Amino acid sequence: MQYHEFRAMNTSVLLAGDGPVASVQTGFSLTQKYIEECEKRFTRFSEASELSDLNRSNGEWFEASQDLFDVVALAMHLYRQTEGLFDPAILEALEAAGYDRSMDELRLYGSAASPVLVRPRLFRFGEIRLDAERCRIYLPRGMRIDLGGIAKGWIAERAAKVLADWAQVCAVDAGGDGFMVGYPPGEDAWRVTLEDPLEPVRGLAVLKIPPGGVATSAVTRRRWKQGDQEQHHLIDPRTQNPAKTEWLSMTVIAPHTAEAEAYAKSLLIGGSNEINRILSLEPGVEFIAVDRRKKLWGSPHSRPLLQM
Amino acid sequence: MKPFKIGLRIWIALTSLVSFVAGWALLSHANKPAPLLTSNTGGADPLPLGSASARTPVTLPPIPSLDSLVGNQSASSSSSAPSIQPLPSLPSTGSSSFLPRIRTRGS
Repeated sequence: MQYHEFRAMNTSVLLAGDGPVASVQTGFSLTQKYIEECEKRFTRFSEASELSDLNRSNGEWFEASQDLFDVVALAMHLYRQTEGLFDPAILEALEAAGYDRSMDELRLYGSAASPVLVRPRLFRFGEIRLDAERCRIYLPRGMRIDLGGIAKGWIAERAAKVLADWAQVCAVDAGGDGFMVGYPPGEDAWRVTLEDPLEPVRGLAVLKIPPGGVATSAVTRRRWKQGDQEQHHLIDPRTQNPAKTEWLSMTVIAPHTAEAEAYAKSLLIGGSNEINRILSLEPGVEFIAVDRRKKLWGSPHSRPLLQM
Repeated sequence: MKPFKIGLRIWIALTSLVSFVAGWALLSHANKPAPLLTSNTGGADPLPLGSASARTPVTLPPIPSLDSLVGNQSASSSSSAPSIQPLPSLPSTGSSSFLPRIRTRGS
């Protein structure tokens, strides 16, 4: 298996591919280019991105590219599937909590904003309108959205399909959002290290992931200090504050990466109170969670996903 | 004119004092105001999409311990299988280099 690692989307991206060296290396190069192009389009940290254009549309219909429309439509589907626990319209609350610049910048310079006392106007993603025929998106005046996680999952899966043209067995892992194609030679699954959320160099277990999507949300990865308060990036849309949850991390295995990403977020934010409800909405989803004592918990059929 | 002014001042001072004491007594016997945010859990209810009530943040119920959750599930539901189970972690895994290169990390 050959590997190629680079930085994009404010995270480390790992490509894996099996096959003739020249073919796989070409695949790596084209896949990296594809990911970098997608990032330019979907990032909220660049004024020149298409997402920023959409966020400036301010109550007018916005003519979107097919890709942006597809991601927003997918986000709407997952918003409805999770009954609002996955909600890309929490951008105001995310910025109010101090995540108003890229994580790379936040780590370098810290959060500029002190805790916001005036609560921003709260939007729900269900308020947006989509016109599939004319590929248009309508955001209510003042609403801005963040496609961060779901776009990353969508890009990882698309990128894996680009890479699969050059390496029939391959994987793309974008900071925990991954998509696997085929089985590694001689293996019955992809082996993935379940990281210790508090000590990322350590592994808590080895997961056996079938071809398809996997995504992990963690409250420990994207953290910063805002004044005296420790904040993280997973906003609970019910409270509009960083989620208070018993999970340190939540890994979801699903057929598609964007779906895994949305359910990982929803299960983590919802906490153990919401597990039954969320699993009843999407019975095919399996999860493995790490609690604050670093104990592992899983969905009913998750045990075979652990390498014993 | 001067006695009138003095009388007016005394009258204003007395009525202010009496009103203040009366107000204090009234408030001290009044019911406590209702809290601004209700402690309605909203936990089991689906979030209404785009409704006005969805814009009001709610306070969430306290988080139960996971062990008690699993215990309650197995005690209370004989028909439905528990939706969460404890899993073993591998004590021997560590920072050693045999761990697979693809990692969950987490966004």
